[in-house]
Amino acid sequence: MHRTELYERVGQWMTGLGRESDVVISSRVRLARNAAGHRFTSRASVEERRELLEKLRGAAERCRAISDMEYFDLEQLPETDRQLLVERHLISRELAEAEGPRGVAISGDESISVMMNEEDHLRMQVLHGGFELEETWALMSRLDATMEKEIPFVFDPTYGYLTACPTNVGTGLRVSVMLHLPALAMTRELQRVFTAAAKIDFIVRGLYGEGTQPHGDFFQISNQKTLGRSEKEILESLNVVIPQIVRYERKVREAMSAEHRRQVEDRIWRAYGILRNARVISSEEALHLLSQLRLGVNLGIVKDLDAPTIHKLFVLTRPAHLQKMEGRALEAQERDAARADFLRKCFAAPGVPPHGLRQG
Amino acid sequence: MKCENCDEREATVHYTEIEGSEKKEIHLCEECYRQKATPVQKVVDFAELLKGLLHGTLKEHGAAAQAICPMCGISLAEFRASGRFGCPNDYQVFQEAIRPLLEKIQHGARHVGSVPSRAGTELQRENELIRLRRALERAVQREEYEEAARLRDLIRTLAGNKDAPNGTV
Repeated sequence: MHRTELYERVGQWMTGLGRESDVVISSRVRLARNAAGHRFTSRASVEERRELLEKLRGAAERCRAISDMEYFDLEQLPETDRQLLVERHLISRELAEAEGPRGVAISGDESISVMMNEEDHLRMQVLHGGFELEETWALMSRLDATMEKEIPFVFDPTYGYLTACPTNVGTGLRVSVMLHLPALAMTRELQRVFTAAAKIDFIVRGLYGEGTQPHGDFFQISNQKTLGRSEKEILESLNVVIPQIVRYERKVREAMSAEHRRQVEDRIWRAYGILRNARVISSEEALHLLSQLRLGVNLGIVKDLDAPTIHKLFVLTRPAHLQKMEGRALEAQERDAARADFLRKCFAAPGVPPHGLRQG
Repeated sequence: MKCENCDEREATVHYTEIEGSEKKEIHLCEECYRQKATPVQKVVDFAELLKGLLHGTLKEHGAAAQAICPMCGISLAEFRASGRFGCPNDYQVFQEAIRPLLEKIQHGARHVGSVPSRAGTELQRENELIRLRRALERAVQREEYEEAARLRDLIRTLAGNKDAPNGTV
């Protein structure tokens, strides 16, 4: 990869900033678009996909709104690097694992990502830290309008923007908010929240999107329907639902730390203890413990760490990031050892941000 | 206090469960708690859900399932198997079959969101381009290179200024 190595950077969403960031990790909007006069990606020949990619890449590079875009040719990029992009939420797992001509253009602060030859020709994403739907949507609208000048998108007066899968047709808009709900998860109130959410057409997913299990109390809530509702209505529905869940989580956190202070503190300090001392740790366990630690920071129990540091560790302890930092491929067992070493090093000097930590 | 689930280990997790108007104190050990409290047992796999729906909605269209899109060549049966369309024209070709599906998985079957600022797209030209691109793929597969060259020229001409194959404007 070029410029600063991607794994050493801090993406905008990783800063831990933004509104309601004690509960909301990030806000994401995604638009699905297809270029007119072509078959959808899965049906297009390699020649056609290559032609499309050229066109899409050119359009993205001519976009002034996104002038600092860096392009990655995913057909050429090694697997670990593609996995790295998935861990940073910049490309989908599907795009990482697909074959043939495909690519992604990413803005310098990683808030914009334009995926090319995904299931749809274009999957444009804007990702910000905290609960920032207006900002993310405003940026997306500009991006969409600019790309539309370059590429005629397939649009049908009845069905709206046409997509390969009918679950995305219409607006092509998927709005997702990533939530950290450790208190609700502990009290089993969560199932009730999600059942209610599903009734009003929201999907709940894990940290890495479709088909992933929730880990470390992170949950992604998205609109399910894309047709028959305007973009504004879709955004508004999340603007109504998310603050309710946020308030609920806060209420349970307060009640928990008032009524069971000792147990809550114990959980958090034990998590901290393991992270600082473990010699072998899986990425799942690390995520779970870091989640506890994040709660500790937000409850004011842990004072020598801040949210941005923990956000960076969420990402840096994932398998591809660890391997990039180590500069070589690692087997699962080696990774668990390297992860424990890395975490101990980070916590040995509290307050020092762990990014930029290089291995010879 | 012993864990009320296994009655072996010490209970370290205590919380109140509210079922309707009934309040219940729960005391569990860490291990039993983890097993019990795993949130969201099953994440909804939307692709799977869709396949199930497709099967239900499309099975009554026995004859229609044989229909084939003249542009991209996909059949309704193929769409049912993969849940993915081959080209935009499929929304017209399989209209009858997908309308009830859209009513089910979407909020009605009519777009109410934003419209591209660009003037109405030229449907016929776009569909012809899709058909030609498929013909080109088949010509290449059959190693009919003269035919392929002819088709490439046709595509270039038809795509014209707006939509040149190599991005040349």
